Amino acid sequence: MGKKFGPIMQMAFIVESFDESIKFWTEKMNVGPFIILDDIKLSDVYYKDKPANIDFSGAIAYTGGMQIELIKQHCDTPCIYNEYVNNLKGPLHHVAALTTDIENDIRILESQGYINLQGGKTEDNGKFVYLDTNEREGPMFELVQLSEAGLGFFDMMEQEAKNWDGKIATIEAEVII
Amino acid sequence: MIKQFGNMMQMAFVVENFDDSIKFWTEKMNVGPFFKLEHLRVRDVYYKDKDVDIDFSVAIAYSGGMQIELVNQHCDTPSIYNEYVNNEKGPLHHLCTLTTDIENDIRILESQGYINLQGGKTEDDGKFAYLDTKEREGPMIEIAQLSDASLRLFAMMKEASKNWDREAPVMNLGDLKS
Repeated sequence: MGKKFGPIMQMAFIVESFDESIKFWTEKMNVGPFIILDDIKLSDVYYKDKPANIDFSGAIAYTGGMQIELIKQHCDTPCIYNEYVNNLKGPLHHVAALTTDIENDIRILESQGYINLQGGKTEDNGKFVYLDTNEREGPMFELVQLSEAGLGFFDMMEQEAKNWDGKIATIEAEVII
Repeated sequence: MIKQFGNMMQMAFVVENFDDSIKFWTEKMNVGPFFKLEHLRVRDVYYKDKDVDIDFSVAIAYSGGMQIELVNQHCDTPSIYNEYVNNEKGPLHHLCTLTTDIENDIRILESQGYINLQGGKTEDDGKFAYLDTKEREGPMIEIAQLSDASLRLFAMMKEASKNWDREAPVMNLGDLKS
């Protein structure tokens, strides 16, 4: 039984406002365009073993094969985006890898002492989970098993980065779907 | 005049010791193998406009196309690895991107208000510079113009991650070249 997940494909940051962060990433780091996913609709979301209803938006861009995700939470519901980590803005929050068998991987990781903190499903039955090792060496770890549509959407966003003219900072998700 | 640098190809973390960090990345994050480059010989190194001599080692691994770099400074010489940032371990320290014309890019970035904090040259005339925007939105940026030999070395390290058997967390550079 081996872990199925692959290389790290996402770096995620918690932000106070998309405007400032997207300005930083597009203007200062040359990373863009950002695709805005407003009020992401998820189901079966839990945090620390309790169901949680978290209102948040994401903004995603690619630099090469790496996805940069900015997360903005709109509510005060406790979750890994606010109370769990030092709420400073700027530090890397988590990295993510894709897997084809998330239950298998969660089982292995839990047996190795990872803490299964938060997770849930996307509208199209993609699954995701955030695990922590409680070590201070690095960020939290997210595992994601995407639907075909989810994978296709990631590919489209990556393509947008390759074709980016550096002018438009943000694109609404609906525009590229 | 346009920026020549490309995609982010490195995430770097400042660490207290390689053992704990490499254990974390190889065992918990499935990233390896790491290559240790001890007491890097760099020259013409500056920090805040002063010449400095910084004794540090790095350990490098690849996860897909992304390079993970751990930096361990062995001396107390002020540098971006210690006094400049919050010296907590764990947070992302900088992202790195490659360029084919570093002077061009530094000129552009400085004109846009970036602070050219630290930089220098490698033994084989590769050049690197760390710039900061003093914004709290994200990490520092490093731009590097590497020699062909260094680019080949990176390519070999990347290849090693694809073929990694997960047994040895650390590989020697010598094992690569053979």
